[in-house]
Amino acid sequence: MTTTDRMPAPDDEPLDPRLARLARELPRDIAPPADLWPAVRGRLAPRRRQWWREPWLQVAAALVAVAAITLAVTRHGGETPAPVAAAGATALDSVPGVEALAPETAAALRRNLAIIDSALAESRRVLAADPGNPDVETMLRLVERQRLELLRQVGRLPRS
Amino acid sequence: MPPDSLPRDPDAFGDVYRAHAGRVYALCLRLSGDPARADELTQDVFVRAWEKLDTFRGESQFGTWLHRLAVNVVLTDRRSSWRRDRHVTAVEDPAALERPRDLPLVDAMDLERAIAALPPGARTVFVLHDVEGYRHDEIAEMGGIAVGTSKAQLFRARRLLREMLER
Repeated sequence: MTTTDRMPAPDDEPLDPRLARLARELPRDIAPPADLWPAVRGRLAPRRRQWWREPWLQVAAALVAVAAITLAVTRHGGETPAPVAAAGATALDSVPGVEALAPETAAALRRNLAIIDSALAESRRVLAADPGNPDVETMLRLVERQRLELLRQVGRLPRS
Repeated sequence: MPPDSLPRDPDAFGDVYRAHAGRVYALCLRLSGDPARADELTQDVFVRAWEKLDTFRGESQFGTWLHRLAVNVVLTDRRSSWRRDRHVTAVEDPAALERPRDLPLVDAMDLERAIAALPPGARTVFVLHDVEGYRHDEIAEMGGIAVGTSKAQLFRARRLLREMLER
């Protein structure tokens, strides 16, 4: 702690030197006469996980945004991200006409949806371990809704 | 201790307790002047720290953050107990509160006892200013008092302690 290193405020009259000496000799720590930890521990409620600290939810939110940008770019005829190896099967394959999408667009969407699905699976696992956590439930519903909306928009994309 | 390394598990919070209990207890004891109350206040400080842990952003050292929180817990308790007791406490001889006890000051232990014997307001400001190093404006903010009141209480505390020294 740093507070003990401070000097008295300059507008104070100086502290009596004998008092100052005794004050400096006061011990910084005094052990409590009894161990208070058991009583403290008994009063500590379990800490709720906070969704904004969860990296997997941040990833999910970021990827929903990235996927939405990919869609927007595609719809306006811009360049899509470079093709990458597609991740495993995703819900994208169930969208009618998806096979007619530009291969680059389909690859980017498939990759992003796979990561979103992975993040959603992780969120469900956390919720199973901490049932009823309102923050996680809210974020889970939000990402699921955004994912569905993304798939709906894929269905409306122009086909090549 | 960066915020990310703070324990998220109540059992792990025991390490934080063990690292800081002596410092927090010393503060609570000096501010309250009462060992039994200091026990309760120390517990309250760590429970409050656990509840507020997410508000620690690492802008200061964790110990400094905890110390400030401890001061706030004690002063909040002081204000509520003062409001609770003001209607039931009758002092037959108010001047007795101003008379320093017969406690000649020779060493730090004597000073501990003399601090405990000070009137609450004077004790609080003396401990925070002359022992812990807070400035008057900080004490005024934490205690909800005017800066002038803080200075007056410090003057009063030092006068009472000097009288004890001069015996």
